[in-house]
Amino acid sequence: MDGLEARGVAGPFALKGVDLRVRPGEWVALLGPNGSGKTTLLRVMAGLLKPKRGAVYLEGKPLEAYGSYARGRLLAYLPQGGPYPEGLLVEEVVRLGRLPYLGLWGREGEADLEAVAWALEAAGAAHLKGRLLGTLSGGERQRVLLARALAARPRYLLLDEPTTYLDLEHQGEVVALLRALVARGVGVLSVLHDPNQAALAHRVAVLREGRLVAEGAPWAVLTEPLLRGLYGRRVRVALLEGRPHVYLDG
Amino acid sequence: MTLSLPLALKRSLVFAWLLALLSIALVLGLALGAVAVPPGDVVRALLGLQENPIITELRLPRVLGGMLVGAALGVAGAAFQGLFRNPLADPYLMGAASGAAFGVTLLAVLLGGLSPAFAQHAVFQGLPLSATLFGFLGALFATLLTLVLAGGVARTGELVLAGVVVGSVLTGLTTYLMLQDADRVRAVFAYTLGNLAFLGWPGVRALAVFLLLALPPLLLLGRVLNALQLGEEVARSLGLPLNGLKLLLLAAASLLTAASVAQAGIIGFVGLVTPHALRRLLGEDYRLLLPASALGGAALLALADLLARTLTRPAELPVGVVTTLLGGPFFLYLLWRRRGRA
Amino acid sequence: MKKLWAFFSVLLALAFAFPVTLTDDLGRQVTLKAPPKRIVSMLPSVTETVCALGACDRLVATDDYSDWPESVKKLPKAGGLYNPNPELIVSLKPDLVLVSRYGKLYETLERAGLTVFVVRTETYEDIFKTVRTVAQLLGLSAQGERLVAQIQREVYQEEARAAKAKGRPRVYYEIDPTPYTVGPESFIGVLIQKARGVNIVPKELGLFPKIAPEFVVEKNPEVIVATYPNARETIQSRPGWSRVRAVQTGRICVYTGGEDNLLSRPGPRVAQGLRLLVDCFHGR
Repeated sequence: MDGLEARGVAGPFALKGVDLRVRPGEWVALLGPNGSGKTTLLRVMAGLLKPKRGAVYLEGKPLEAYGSYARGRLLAYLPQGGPYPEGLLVEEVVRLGRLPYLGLWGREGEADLEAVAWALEAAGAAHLKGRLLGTLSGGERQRVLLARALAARPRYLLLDEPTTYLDLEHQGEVVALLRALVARGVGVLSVLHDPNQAALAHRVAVLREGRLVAEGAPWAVLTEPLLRGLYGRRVRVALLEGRPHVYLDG
Repeated sequence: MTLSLPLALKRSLVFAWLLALLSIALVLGLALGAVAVPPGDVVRALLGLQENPIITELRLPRVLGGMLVGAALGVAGAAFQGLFRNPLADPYLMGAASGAAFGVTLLAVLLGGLSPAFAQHAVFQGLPLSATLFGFLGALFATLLTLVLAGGVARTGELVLAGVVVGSVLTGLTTYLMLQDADRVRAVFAYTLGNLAFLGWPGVRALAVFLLLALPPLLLLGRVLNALQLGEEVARSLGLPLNGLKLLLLAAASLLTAASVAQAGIIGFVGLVTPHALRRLLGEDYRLLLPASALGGAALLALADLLARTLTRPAELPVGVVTTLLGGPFFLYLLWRRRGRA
Repeated sequence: MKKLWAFFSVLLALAFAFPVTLTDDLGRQVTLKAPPKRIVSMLPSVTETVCALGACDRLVATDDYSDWPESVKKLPKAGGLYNPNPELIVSLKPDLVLVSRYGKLYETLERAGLTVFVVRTETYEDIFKTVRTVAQLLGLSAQGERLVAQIQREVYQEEARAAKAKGRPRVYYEIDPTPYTVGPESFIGVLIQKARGVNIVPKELGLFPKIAPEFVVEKNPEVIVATYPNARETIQSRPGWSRVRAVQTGRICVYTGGEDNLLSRPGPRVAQGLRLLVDCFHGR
C-alpha cells in the first residue's frame, strides 16, 4: 500500500468526493479552473484540513494515525505565496525545515546540518545561504522555500503552484528540480495552472467543481475537448513526441 | 558567503552596542539622581565599604528593577509581534497591559475592602506575587478578548482597533475601581503613566522570579517563532502543535507584562518600539531578536527613568511620559519611512 | 432706639447695596439685583464660607464633596469638578451659582440663564478674599468682616502657640503615595510655615511636585504628614525609608476621614487645620 491516497474526500468547501493517489517516484499534476478545489484537496492531503467525509491514507495508514511530527517528516507542504520573513537568513529558513525532527526544544545535530546542506544543494540555492530572504529575486526565493520543504527529506512533496510569479527561465528550473526529485523516489503532487507544465508530469488529474473529471497520462487527459471545457473554445492541443502542447488558437 | 560575514559582524556589533548601552544606563543610573553622591562614595557603597542607603536601598534596586521591567516589556513585545506576525502587536496595544492593571487593581480592591488607597499601595509597593498572578489572568483575558474581537491575528487594522477598545474599557474599569471613594484622580493618573519610584528589593526579587519563569521558554522558542513567520499552515505542516504553542507564548508574554505592570504600572511604547527598532538592525530572526529586545528594553527603560528622575530634580516626571516622548517620535519616523517606501 | 436704628441701617444698606456688581476670578462682571436666596455652591470651601456667614439655609445644593457643616450633607449633590450635573442645578432654579474656575461649568449654566460667579480658592490669601466677596454677594458685608477677623484671630492663636515651641522640625508632607508633595508656596506649604515647620521641598519645584524618594531620604525629615488611608504602613514599608528620622521615631501624622479636608480646603476652618499641624510638629 504505497503512496499518499485520498479516498472519497468530500466536505471542506468545494470538494465533492475525490479519490487520488500519489506514489513514490511519481509526479502528479493537479489541474483545474479557479474554485474547483485544487488547493483544498492539497491541504486535505497534507493533513492541514479535515475532510467531512472520506479520509487520507499515508502508506496504508490513515493520516490521523501519525503524530504531527511523524507526518511532517513524511510530507512537506509548500503553500502558494507568503508570508515571507524578509529579514531572515536563507540558511535559517531552510533549517526550519528540520523542525519535524527537532520539535519545540530540540538541538540541531550533525544529521540536521547535513540535510540542510543537501536541500540547499538540491534546490540550487547553496550560494544564497548567507543572504536575507528579502534580498532575493522571486525565482531565488522559490528555490529557497523549496529547499526548506526538502530539508526534512520528505517522501512526498505537496506544492501549491510552485511556479507562479516566476519568469520562464525560473519556471524551467523549478520543473527540472521536481523531475530530479521524482527520479530519486520522491512522490510529488503539485497544483499547476499551466497545462504545459502539467504535461511534464507523470500523471495529470483534473478537478472541476469539486470532482475529479479526468485522470491519467498527460497525452490521454490533456485533450482539446477537455481543455475547451475548462478554458474556452480557442484552446488547441498538438501532440509532439507523445507529449501534449497546449496553445491558444488565433 | 561574502555577504554572511559582514552580516554576522553587524549582528555582533548590535549586541555589543546593546551591552554597552546597558552598562552606560547602569553606571549613569547609579551615579545620577535627585541627591548628588560623589562617584567614589557610590563605589564604596556598592562594595559595602560605606553605608549609604540612598545607593543600596533606593537607587540600585530602582535601576535594576527598571531594567527588569524594561526587559520584560521588550521581550513580551517581541513575542507578541512574532506570535501575531504583526509589528504593531505589543503588550499595550493588545490590551494586555490594561488587563494586567485591571487584574491587579481588582485583587487590591477585593483584599482591601474597596479601598483605592490600598489598591495604589498594592500596585506600587507590595503584594508582588498574588498581584502578578491576578495581573497575569487579566492580561491573558484581555489578549484573548482582543483576538476574539479582531477575528484572528491576520488583520492588522482589526487587531489594533480591538486592542485599543479592550484596553480603553479595562482602563476605564480600573479607573472606576480606583475612584471608588475619594478624589484620587492624581494618583490614578500617575498610575497609568507608570512609576518606578518605589521599586525596592522585594519588587526586584518578584520581577526576577517571573522573568526566570517566563524568559527561558521564550528565548528557547526563537526558532519556532521564526517558523511562524512562514505562516501558520507551514508551521503546522512542520508538525508544530500550534494551539499549545500559541497558548504557551501568550502565557509567557502575558506573565512578563503582568509582572512589570504589577511593579511599575503601565509604561507604554517600550514593548512596541524596542523590538521594532531592533528588527531594523538585526532582521527578523527571533533567536536574536528576543534576547536583543530584553537588553534593549532594559537599557531603554533604565535611561528613560534616569531622565524622568534627573530632568527636573529633585522633582520627578512620570516615567511613562518620558517613554512616550522618546517612543512616539521614533514610531512616527518608522511610519513615515514605511510610507516613503510604499 | 439703638436697636431700631441698627435694624434700619441694615435695611438701608441692603437697599443701597443691591444691585451689586462684582468682578469674579475670571475677570467677568457679575451683577446681582437682589440678595440671592437660592444658592448652589460647587466648592467645598465656599460652602463652608457661606455657612460660616450664617447663610447655610440659603443653599439649595452643593457639589459632591461638600460635607461641612453637617446640615449640608442632606442637600442635593450636583457632582464634582469632573462630573458636574448641570441639569440638576438648573432644575433647582438657583439665583446664584458659585463655581470653580476650572472646568467649563459656568458656560453651560450661563447659557441656561443662571447667574454664575467664579471663585478661586487656592492660596492662604484667597480665604479672606473669598469670605469678603461671598459676603458682598450675599449682602452680608458686615458679617464678612467679622468672619475675617475671627479667622485671623484663631490663626494667630495657633501661630503664637507654635512660636513658643523650641524646635522647628523638618517636615515632609505627602498628599498621595505616588508620591506627590506640596511646595512652600502652596496653601498647605503656608500652613506648614505658620506651624513653624520647615518644608524640605524647595519652592522652585512648584505647588504640587512629584518628588524623588531619594531626595526625601536624603533630607531626612523629622516629621511626615500624610493625608491618605494606610499612609503609615505605606511609608514604613518603602525601601530605604526605615533610615528616615520620622519613620524611626514614628512621627508620622496621618489625617484622613474629614481631617484632611481641614488641611486641603482654604476655607473658614483653616485654623483647625493649622492646629493639627502645630500639634503634630510640637505636641499639644
